[in-house]
Amino acid sequence: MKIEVQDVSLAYGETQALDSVRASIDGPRIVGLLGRNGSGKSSLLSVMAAFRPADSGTVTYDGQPVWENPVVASQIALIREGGDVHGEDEKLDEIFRYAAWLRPNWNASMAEELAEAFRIPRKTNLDKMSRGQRSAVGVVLGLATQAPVTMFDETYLGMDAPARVLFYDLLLKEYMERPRTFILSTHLIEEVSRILEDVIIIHEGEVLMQTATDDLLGQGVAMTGPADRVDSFVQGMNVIGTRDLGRTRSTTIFGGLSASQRIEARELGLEFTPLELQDLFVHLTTQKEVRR
Amino acid sequence: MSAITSSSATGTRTWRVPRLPLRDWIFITLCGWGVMLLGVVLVGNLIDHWAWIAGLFGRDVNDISVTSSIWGMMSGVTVWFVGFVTGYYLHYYLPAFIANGRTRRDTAIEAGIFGGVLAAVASVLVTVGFVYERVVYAIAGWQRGTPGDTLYQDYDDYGQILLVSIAGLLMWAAGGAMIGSSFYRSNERGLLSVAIAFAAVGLVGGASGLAGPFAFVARQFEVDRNLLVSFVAALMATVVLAGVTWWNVRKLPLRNK
Repeated sequence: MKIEVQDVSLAYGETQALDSVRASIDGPRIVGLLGRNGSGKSSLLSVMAAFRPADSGTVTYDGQPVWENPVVASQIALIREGGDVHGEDEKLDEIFRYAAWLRPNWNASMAEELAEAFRIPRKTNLDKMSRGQRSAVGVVLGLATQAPVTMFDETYLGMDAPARVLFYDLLLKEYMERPRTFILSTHLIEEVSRILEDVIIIHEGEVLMQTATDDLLGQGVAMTGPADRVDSFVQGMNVIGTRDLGRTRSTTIFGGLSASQRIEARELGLEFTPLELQDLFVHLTTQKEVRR
Repeated sequence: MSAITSSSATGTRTWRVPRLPLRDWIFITLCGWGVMLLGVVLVGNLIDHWAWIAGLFGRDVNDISVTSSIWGMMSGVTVWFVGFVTGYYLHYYLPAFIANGRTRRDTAIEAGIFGGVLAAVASVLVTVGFVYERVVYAIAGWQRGTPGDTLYQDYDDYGQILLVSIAGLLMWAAGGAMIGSSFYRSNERGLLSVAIAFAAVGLVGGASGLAGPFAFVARQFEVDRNLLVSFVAALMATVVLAGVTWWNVRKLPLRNK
């Protein structure tokens, strides 16, 4: 399924949450929607799932607009931390009963297995559950719904580390068995980077970049060595960050190194190390001018 | 994965009867109705019991015996119940359904079906309640008297009771839906909608004789009441209130709790 976001803008009063956002996802893919707090991730997902209308622009799935389109809407699941269930005082069985009624591809046996795996209490009302347990309910709903496009809007952040690892493993397993598009909105980048095929980085309501994760990782390099040599080497390159430790300087460049540049760097005695996705994200979102 | 096909192209209906919430809420309605039926017997016996005690103190027990319809008074709660439930449906169920892949248009139609069916079921239960009360009163030897500020002239006029109930309850269901959807949008809009809803059900209900809890309004109107005119007036108020509800729902942004 091909998702096209075309010039979507959204404002809350004076605050411009999204500004002419454009993005394209050709599924099945696992896509990370990365951005700092308040960057517009949730707003973008809300518009993509028709949870709210955009002020302008369109979102289409295989060429059809999502807004008020019953066929398209039924193929999309956006899971938010609140769970979006009909009653906060409901127990898990009741939540599953309604999910089965609402969702055409609901997998009841899978929901039961996942509830067991995440140790979600059966006799506790949703509003009495811990944040981690509520997050787990969201994760179970998202996976068992088996919608062709499933988006998790930081749903799993309330879960503890072992539960999150279990979620990533289950999501990958699902993706292998039933390929479909997953979009994960998160700022826990290091954890999730291993499963992302593509990333969309959003910053201050604009898409900073959209690219394959591997391509992005090859772009960020930290050059370390004596300050004067590093400065001389990076001249004319796209520098997105610099740190000094005594006379040693570490300068981060964006754009990768060619084979000849690598040889030159070695000859100058400089070390070059590829950046982790999270480091790259930090540099990119604090250096807004670095854009494609 | 297959490509998406347009529903408008295939011409298929996309809304459906909200069976699950209807089943749940009709069950709750039946439970409440059962309690109210028991209440008729209990309240009637309490009044009788009180009359016996009062007789010991030289009071005229005829002043205290059951001389009016207990069900007529108790069933007044029905309009509040139906209004509350449809408001609850619009405030909690409808957004959850939209979040689960339904459109606003379809969920609004389903909400209309929900409110209509609930009002119809409640009307039948109110009417059956009067039948039940007649039997209880006959056995106990109590008197029901005559109805007050209502369109029906007799507690045994079940056809009129049914019509009056359904017209009034539909109006209250639409009012509840409007309030529920307005509070979902914002508290300010919700408070305004309460004023509008009560003005509508108070004025139309009172003037038409579908009085409900607004009997005091009914007494201000010196008009010849006609069942058909009242029914049409109530339906018109229902359509207006439902229209405002749709205005709330058609571009409803879902809150992030």
